[in-house]
Amino acid sequence: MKKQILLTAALSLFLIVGVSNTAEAQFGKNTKKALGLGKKGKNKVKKVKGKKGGSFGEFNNETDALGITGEYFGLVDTRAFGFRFVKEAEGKIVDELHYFEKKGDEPQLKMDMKESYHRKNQVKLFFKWMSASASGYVEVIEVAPGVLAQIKGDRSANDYDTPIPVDAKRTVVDVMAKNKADLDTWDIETVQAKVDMIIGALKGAAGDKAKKQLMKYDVYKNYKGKIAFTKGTNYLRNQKANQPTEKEANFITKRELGETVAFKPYFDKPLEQSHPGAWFNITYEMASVKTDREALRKSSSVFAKNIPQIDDDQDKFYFWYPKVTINTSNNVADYAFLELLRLIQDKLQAGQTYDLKVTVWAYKDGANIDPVATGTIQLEYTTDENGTKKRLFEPVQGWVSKIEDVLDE
Amino acid sequence: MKFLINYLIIFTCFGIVFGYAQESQNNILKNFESGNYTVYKLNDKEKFEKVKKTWPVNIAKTGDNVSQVLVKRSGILDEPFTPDVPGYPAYFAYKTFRLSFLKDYAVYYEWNGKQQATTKYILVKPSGSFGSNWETTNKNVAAYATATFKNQTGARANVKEAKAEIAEVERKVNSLEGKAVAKIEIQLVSKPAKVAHFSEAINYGVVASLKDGSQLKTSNLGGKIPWEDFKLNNEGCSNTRETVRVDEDASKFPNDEIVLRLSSVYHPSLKAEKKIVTTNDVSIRVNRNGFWGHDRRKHMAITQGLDGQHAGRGDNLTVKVKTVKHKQTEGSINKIEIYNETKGKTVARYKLSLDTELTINAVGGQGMNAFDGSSGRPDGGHGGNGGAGGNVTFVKDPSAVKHNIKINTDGGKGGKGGAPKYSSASHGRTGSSGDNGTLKTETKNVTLNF
Repeated sequence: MKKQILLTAALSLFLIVGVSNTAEAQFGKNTKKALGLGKKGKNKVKKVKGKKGGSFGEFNNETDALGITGEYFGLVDTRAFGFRFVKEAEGKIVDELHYFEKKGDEPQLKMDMKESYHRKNQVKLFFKWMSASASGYVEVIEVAPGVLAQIKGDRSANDYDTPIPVDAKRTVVDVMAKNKADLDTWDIETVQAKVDMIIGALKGAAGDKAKKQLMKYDVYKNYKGKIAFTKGTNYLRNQKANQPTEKEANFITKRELGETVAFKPYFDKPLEQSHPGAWFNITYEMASVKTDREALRKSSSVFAKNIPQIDDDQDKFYFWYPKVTINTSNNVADYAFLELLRLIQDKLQAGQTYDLKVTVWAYKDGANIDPVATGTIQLEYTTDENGTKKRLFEPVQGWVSKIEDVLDE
Repeated sequence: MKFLINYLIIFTCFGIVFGYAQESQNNILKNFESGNYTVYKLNDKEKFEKVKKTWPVNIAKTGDNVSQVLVKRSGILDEPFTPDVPGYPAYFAYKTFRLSFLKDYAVYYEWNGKQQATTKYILVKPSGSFGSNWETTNKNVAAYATATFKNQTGARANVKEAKAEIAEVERKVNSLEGKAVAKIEIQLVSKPAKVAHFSEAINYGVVASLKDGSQLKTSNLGGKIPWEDFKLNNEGCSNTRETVRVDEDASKFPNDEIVLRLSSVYHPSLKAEKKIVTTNDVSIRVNRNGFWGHDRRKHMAITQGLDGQHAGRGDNLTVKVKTVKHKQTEGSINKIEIYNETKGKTVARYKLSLDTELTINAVGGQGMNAFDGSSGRPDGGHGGNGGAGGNVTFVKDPSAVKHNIKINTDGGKGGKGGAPKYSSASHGRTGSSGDNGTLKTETKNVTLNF
């Protein structure tokens, strides 16, 4: 009886283990090996070499709507593989790319096509999430007729039904070609460049889509190429990308000099599109005097330390984090603006109002190339005893006093 | 003697390198021709390795200047590189990649904001040679580029000048300068529903009618007249182009209207004016509250233990109100002035319709919650005390029979006590609430100078 129980238990365990190793898991393992993704896969590639694979020549006799189906040869993993594009299955449109590394009817991997990329941009991109981590992502892009790039990404899964976004880093890990001779031309570097080109085009298309979406927001539509000013950064923050939900009602055109002024520029195009290779610079101009963040950074170690380069947001239509001239709530200020106040302090008069022109520039190789957003706010030197004079010139806490102290050091 | 020779050799080499570094790509490329270039790529070990196939490179010139370098990667992908500054290029750019020609070869690299180069490929001309390592190549090309940038001043100025010339032509076409202008008018982009403190922006543009019957407009009205053509002199609102907002200080619009006013820079006799009557009907909330306990560090030096910080008290205020006639509509409005006794400053001067709500908060800040007990001090900390509410004196002129002003002077809540580390230890007590401030109402004649 005991023997029978033990036997039954052992059989059950075997069945459980067996069931959990269904086709899906098996595909993942083999494909990982074949694609060289993940440590385990990498380690085992050599062991399985020669045991599997074979000829898929008969695939070349098939035709499909995209012209992909056929036998392929790898550049890194030099075995032969089979790829079959399946448009329809069981009466449904599926648009799948089936990948074979072993002979048989069942593919080792079924990848989905990103249909909109093909429909709008004629890009044949297939992908599969085998797990949620970045290493579980497999992507194939056709870079030329009969040449496929195997790609790994740097993003984990957000949605199993979509490929990694266009701004993710894609690295070509192998190239597969129907014609072995093509592999001489299409080396990894060249394919990587081609993939970058393809993704660049998709990025451009994604940018157009984002722009279309942004134009639905009055704030972007009305302030494109301009700078909006508010009394605090909280009025300009957003929760989601390309959804500028800030209210124009909170924008200001006049403020007491010495008080908090936050600002946000809105660009016609992201800087990486309008000025590739450039980054941002900001200039402040008031009472006919101008200060320039980048010029100040190069003028002294004090400014170099306290004026960080603005090298974020090149891919965005506006600064994700608003900037400030002065923020009294956390005692933060832009040193370039404080330097402007220091330079013009003798010109400032109580009761007067001054135009502050703020310009955000595309900056490259030590020069401002083009303005990408501009705005003007009026700053009033108030006459109150505890107004502007105190905020700027109070011996210890005054903003001008503070920068003078820093520069005197 | 030997020392002198060595010195001369070093000096000569330095001179050669320095002289070379100052050359623009246009000069350097005189020694290069289109052809198939041998390519070295960077491998994983940061060493250069030769690529099997050569890459065709096509150098296109316009006069003495190189207008484009077309690199056909692997002979199949076109990468058109264009000069950074046409008259004096330091590099040729394609997307974020740069190509600078040095000696017998071109360096294909990326550049970052720290003025550093990261070489990707070396393209050696048909008869040339290359034998440097990656680090040295990066340094050499970065040194060349930065040295050349300094010499681009003239060429950059030319580019700037060319851009300015184009802009000037555009400006002249659209400007009123030199044109026979009959009149200029201010036109609102849309009619504002409310014209009051904190109401939405008022967008306006300018229409100029020329004597030949044609019209020119500013950009927000579909035209291209530069705003520099006009001198603004607005009243009761910001003196800004395109968009204005009603002044927060009611003393700036004594006649209960805002005035958009401008004149033509090139035809000083031409003036335009648009008056917009204020509606004074946007609700306002004024906060002059005490700081919260967790912000105490911003106001004074503190020592932070497990106990929460005490909050600050609300400001003491004097609020004056007087009912007057709207100078344009003859309806009744309230003039309100708020003076902050604690800060010694007038914080608001408003004109509001009798029904428009004004909420003035001078409440105490909330005490900071305490920290939980730790193994060193098992008892939970005590919550910080709430701040007291401000004392507000509300002075009503006998005319101010009706108003919608709400004043809050509540004390702030105390912060919560911290939890004990162990069941045997004690829970910190909640901080005490701040006392409510006083609200003293007086009715007497009020003089408001706005």
